[in-house]
Amino acid sequence: MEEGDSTNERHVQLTFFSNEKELADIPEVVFDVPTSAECDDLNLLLNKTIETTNDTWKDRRFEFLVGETFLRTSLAEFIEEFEVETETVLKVECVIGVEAPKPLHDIQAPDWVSSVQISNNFIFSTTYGGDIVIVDRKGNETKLAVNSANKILKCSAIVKKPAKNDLNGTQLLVGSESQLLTLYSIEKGALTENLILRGHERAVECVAVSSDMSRAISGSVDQNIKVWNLDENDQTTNYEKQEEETKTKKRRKEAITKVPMVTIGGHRDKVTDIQWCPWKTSHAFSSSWDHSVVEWDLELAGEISRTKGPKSFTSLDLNLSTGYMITSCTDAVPRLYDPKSRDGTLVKNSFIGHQTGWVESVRWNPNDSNQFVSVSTDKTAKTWDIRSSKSSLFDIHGHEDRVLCVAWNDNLIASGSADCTIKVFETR
Amino acid sequence: MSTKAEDIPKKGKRKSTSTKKPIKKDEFGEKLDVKPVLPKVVDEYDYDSSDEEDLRNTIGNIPIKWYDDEEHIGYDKHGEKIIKPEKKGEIETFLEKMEDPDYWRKVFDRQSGTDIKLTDEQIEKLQNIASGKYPTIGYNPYEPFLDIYSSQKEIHPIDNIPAPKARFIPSKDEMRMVSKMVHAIRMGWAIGPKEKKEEKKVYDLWASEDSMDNLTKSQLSRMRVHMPAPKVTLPTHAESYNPAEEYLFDDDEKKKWEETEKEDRVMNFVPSKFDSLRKVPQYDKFITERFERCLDLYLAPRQRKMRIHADPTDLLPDLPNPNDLRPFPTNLAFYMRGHKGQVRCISMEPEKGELLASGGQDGTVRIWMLATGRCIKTFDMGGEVTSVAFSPIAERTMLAVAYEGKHIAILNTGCGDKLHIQQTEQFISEVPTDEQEDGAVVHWRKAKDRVTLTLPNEVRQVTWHAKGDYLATVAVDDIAKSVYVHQMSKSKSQCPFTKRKGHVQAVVFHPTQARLFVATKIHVREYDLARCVLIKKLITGIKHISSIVPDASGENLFLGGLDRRFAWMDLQMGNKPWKKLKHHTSAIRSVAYHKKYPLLATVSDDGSAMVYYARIYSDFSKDNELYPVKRLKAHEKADDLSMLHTVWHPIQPWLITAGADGSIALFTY
Repeated sequence: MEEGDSTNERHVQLTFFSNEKELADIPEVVFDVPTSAECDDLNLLLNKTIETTNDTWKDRRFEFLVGETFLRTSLAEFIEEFEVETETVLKVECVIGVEAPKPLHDIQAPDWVSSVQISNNFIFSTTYGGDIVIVDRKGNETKLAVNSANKILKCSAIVKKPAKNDLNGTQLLVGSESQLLTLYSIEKGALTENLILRGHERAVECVAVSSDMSRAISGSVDQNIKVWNLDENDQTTNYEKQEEETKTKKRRKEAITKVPMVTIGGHRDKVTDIQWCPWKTSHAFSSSWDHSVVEWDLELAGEISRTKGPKSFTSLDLNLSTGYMITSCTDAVPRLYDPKSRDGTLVKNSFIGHQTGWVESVRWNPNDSNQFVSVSTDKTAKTWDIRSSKSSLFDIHGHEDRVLCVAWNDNLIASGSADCTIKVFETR
Repeated sequence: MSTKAEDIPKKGKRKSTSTKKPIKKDEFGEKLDVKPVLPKVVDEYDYDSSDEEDLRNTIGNIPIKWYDDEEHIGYDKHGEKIIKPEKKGEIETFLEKMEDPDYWRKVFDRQSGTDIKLTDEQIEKLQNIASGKYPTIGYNPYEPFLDIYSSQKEIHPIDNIPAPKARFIPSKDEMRMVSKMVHAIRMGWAIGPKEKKEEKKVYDLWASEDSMDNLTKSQLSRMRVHMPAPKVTLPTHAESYNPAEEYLFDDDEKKKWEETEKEDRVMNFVPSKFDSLRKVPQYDKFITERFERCLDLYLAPRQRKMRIHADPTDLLPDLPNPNDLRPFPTNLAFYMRGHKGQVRCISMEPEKGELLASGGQDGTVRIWMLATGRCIKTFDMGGEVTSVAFSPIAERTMLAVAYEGKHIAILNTGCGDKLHIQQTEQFISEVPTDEQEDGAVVHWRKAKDRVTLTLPNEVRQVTWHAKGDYLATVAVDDIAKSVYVHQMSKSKSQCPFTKRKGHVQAVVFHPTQARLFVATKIHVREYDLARCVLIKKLITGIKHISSIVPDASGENLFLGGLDRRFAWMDLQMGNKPWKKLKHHTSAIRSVAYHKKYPLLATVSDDGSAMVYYARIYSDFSKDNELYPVKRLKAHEKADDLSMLHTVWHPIQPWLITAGADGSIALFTY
């Protein structure tokens, strides 16, 4: 009976090819494959064919690209969904499959984790309890407490990258609920306040530092964006304290207080995330709860373009090589935009996979311009390839409460959650 | 060949009939045609005058076709076969055509099988017919009209007979009668015309019986759609007194008949046989059968009932697609956990919408960051918190808290803008609590970051006036002095109502004017606080009001009740609710109306929140709109309680609900 069924089934002719060096010797053979075949069947088929020509070949996992999209379902469903021409020989591109992220560390933080950054194999994270937790790749953690009255830290940015295996001299800009941004430098395992940036009227939600580390921009609940001068030699934006004030706090070593260079208003609700434009130094992108992502010209202090979204945005990230912008909203769907194109308001792709709740944060993979990671209030993190919108690459489970922040750098994914843990995963 | 052979006879037949027809049928033509011929009659026996043209053939009016295969074409009157004349060959026909000058006027007669030569007369008739004229030769349809009798009066008589003599002589008979009457009058004998005796009119009771005027509507309709009474089925052979043997029951059949129920029997009698009609006894079921027949007639339908076959879905009101009414909250974002026991009340920070305050059974007031669901501050009040309310002024980080122990606290939350916190500190320090009169019922005290009021009764609810100076409180108990209005700037409290008008459940200030809506269990009263008068008393239709919320203009009130009812009162439309809904299966605990979006939410003990699209038009020509758009479910049940309070986010279309399970849920669009 089974044989009878298989003969009735439709068959597709396909060939494999690849742009990767390792796979240069894929035999150019046309295969006749039943449409019920899935990725695993194709994997088996391809591995066996390569084995016939290459004796040293070891089985590997492949991903298959037909045109621009990944094959994730059976061939029949794929053909039906994308209306693929089956008359001609189907050309299938083979990409060596990404290995699943390996859990590396599970670090207990003293409080909810509000932000996480990765730089030079160090993971910096801030907590709502006023701690900065630093973890190196080996899992050694350093906990540094902020010496300040209001301890709710909300966001961070690295100003001076740590040297290899040495934290000393690292500078970190931290925004807090107390409306201040503080530039801390780590010396001898302790935090020292270098600068205090004062000017926001409500909690600072997001901060970003320019590539030459001389400027910082921050967004706040007060709906404003402020630009700060971080240059050590700059004196123009220093805040002149009144004499009485300086007297009372004489004992403490004073940190320099600065006021913003420029304040940009334009959002009508809380600014949730801010990023420097990677391809134009004086531009920046900010996302807000007012359903829009705005590109700003910071020199002119004006709006360049506004991307309207269907819901309130919670975060955004820009990709230098493709120029694409990935955003997350107060729903379960990360959305991909192309801010360079004129029709930037159109969603290029929506990634459906998270359960309910919000996607809290999205970040690109700096090593692969097609991949990004998203974390959600459904307690999971997911990695995605932009060529496959229907299903994620990998789901990272483990957090027991809402995941609030994520970072991807140096082949490490670090996610911080409301269950007071930072989980670190290693990717290929 | 065969087709040709058929064709020719057809032609011949048509022509021969057409020659006959005008003579036979057109009578008018016939007369005129015949007349001129008549005088020429010599002897009618000289020739055959009958219409029948060719009497030789006696086969009658049958298709000639039947004789096609025979060698004769019929029979003459003596019964002899009439032999078909020999068929002419084609050459012969052609020769004839060429030679015979009369060929064109020859017609083949199928009946006789010969060619007939048409006369000149017949040809002329045919020509007349072909050209659309009258077939009769020489007939003029337009002969001049001779009008013999006209409407005009002639002065001369038509005939010449003189008038008779009698016309000129008076009648003797008449003269005699007149002289008799004259004589009678003279003599006084003449009697006038007899007086008519008036006959007594008799009322005809049945006169109107036959007329249609006095019939009732139902009688008329019964006549129009007449439904005859059901007929009695006719008796069958089995009912005969002398049925055939097969109709009679044998033992088995009889037993079966007896065993079956009376209603189920096929026949309601047992067929029986009698020798003669004379021996048939009296029918014992006669009376019952007649009676049943009467019952049947009585119950028979006499009227055709028009039943409407309506699809039940058509009767539902036409609701718009909820997708067109977006945005409204659709899914649960997350829970904020921290309270132990019930979360009784929540309040949103005005304008920015970053902070949320909640009060719980555990005696704490918590301040949350809504974006992340993080509790950033906790105040321990020392008594179960019953109500919290953020000051409506965004510049003051002030929160009014009612908690058990007959207290109200007006706290400086210390969250938000540093500048505003300082201003609020200043404001609280300036509240003149020291200038209290002796014997005041409400005691004002000041602590480091708060003002505390001690009231004579436990407080159920606290609410601010839109300007942020006044706040009103409602007592839990059913007493006369249950409502107090407190003024922050003067630290004074007053009790506007001294008479008990019902158990006050909730109060709310008019959003723009110095008015107060007071909701007792079944009524809402609107008071003018400046003039101290009752403006309006509203009948809500709810048996136990639990929550009252005005819209931004104060023209509409939204009420929720413990009897599961929700009511929308439009104050301009009178004192009755504009809309009443019952969408919850359990008591409604709280109602909220969004400040920016046309959204309304009710939360209930059944663990669900109903979100309505509620658009208020200030334009009178448009009706307000109220459509249910979403039922949101969250929170676990604790002691049969689920959702206790709800508020809207001040900017976003997001709903926040407080649960009896100690969590606060955020629903986002």
